[in-house]
Amino acid sequence: MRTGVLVVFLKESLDNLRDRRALLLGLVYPLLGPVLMGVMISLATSVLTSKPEKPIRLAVENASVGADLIAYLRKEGVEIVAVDAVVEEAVRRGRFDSAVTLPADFMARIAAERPIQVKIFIHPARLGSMVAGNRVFGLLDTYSRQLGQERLIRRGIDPASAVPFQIESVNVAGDATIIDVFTFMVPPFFIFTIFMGGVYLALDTTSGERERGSLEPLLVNPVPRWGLMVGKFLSGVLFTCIGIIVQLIAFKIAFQLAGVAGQSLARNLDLSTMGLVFLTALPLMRFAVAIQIIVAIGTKSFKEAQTYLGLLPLVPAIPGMVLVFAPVEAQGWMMALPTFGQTLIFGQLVRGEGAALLDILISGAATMLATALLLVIAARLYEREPLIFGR
Amino acid sequence: MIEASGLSKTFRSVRALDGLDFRAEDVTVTALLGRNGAGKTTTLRILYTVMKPDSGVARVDGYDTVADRRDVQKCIGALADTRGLYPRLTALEHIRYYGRLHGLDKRTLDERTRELVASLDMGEFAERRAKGFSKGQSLKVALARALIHRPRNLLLDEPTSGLDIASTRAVRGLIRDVRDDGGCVLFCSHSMREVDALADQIVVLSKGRTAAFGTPDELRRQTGQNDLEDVFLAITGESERAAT
Repeated sequence: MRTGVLVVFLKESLDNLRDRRALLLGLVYPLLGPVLMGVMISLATSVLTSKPEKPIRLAVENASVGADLIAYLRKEGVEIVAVDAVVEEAVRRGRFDSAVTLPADFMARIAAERPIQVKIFIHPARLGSMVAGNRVFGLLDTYSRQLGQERLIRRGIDPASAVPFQIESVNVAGDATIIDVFTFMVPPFFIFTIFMGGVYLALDTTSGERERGSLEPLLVNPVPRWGLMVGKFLSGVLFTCIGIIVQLIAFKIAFQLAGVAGQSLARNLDLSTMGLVFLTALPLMRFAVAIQIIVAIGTKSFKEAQTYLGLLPLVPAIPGMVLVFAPVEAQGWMMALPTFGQTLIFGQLVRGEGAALLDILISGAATMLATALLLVIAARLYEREPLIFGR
Repeated sequence: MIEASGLSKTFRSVRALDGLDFRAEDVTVTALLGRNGAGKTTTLRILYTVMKPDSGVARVDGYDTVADRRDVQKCIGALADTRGLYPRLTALEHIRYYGRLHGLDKRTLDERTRELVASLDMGEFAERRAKGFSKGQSLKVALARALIHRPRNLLLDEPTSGLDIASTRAVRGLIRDVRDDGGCVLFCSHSMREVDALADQIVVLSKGRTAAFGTPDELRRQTGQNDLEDVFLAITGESERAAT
């Protein structure tokens, strides 16, 4: 039996290739994520790595009362700006990286060995301020401990007895840095591309074809309607595949250009990992295009369908965005949830943890099953008159 | 041959067809006439298989348009009132697309395409994309792709509207060729000149039923009118209202 699948697939693919707007959208959209991530990683890297070498600009209130402390800070590379009073606004605006106030009776309290309250001002939303605040905190802490040790030694006490704990933190992430948090943001971008890549084509070949009036004569041809639908479906999948491939290559290039931290991410994203991401994405692309076709058939007009399909990628991307802030340990059953399983696997692959083949198979099989169901629904919808003449 | 018996179709509260019966024979051009909303387009849509009747049966060459949809589709060529072209495909690509969906091999397809381009005088715009085609050019492309598989039965909605005189003649020639080769042509038109020039038989629809059926001369005799427009108005009940 002639199904028309190949004929329709070739026609729709050619038609879409000639649609400059769709093509531009299809190729530019996947680039947004990589460009954004590349810029963010290089900016974060430059702040985190180059800032400590640059002198910290620290405003100090009552600098004149603590000459020894000030000398110590200067020696450690802190640029001191003496101010009459610390103005929080100045730190908030970034005029200083951080600020410190010393009490006016600083020297008297040192002499009397009484506690001294020192305030550090930081702005948590400024990476530079956080880094400077931490450094100043560390310096003040060291100075304070040295002072305490001298006092204990003067009294003939072993300073070690005053410090029962020796705290050491061990980094389990190897050479991973804060930058690796960004890897959690990569999977939602994949999901977005998967759900956006074929949207225009699905719309144009269903709602568009109906509004153009070309669907009616098309349905007169002696091929089954499901054959027409599957041809359009496969063309949608093809353009989604192109979108994902473009995005993978763009991520690789963007990471490569984004400094040292980016380059370690680029190393994770080698050819075989990219291949696995693609294989994991493939069943989900079919799932996405099937949903797009159903939405396009079920809505009254091109515009209505466009509204729904514009919002569609947000829904599957939500679990991925939640995972950025609240990572979960992957469980087998999660893999069977279309988009969620893939989001987890994408994350494992991008972070260089590697994904279990079984997980990829479970997510693929479950998603394909869901897709088969959606295609049966789409084929049924293609038999209904509202498809041709609208509702 | 095309037959309709007891066709009914309702859209929400509108009864488009109400037990329509008629027959369009082979070697005959049959005109389907009626006022706006009489059910002409619905009839054509049922006959070319994109719509199902609520009740009644439509047959083309003996095949049921619902049960034997594929067989019907193989032996008909349809021109819908919306010509429905793809703006980014050329005229030739439209014709080839339908030819391939009909399963024509490359040689037959090339040969048929050449013939249609020549007989419809499409040479000048055959390689151009459909965006910006005039009404007449669009109609020619839609007609050519409907004829690519040499259907024995033609179902045409306003087959010459928007065409210039030379093109109108070309299309009429094509329609007569199909008839003379033993085919059956059913067309809708509001142009009585068109009907006069082409129709061997006339079916007049009114409120979803057959109001009259016969050759143009038979209908002239029945109504006592000479001009086909008057014949049409007399049958559809408009003549009295027009006179007062």
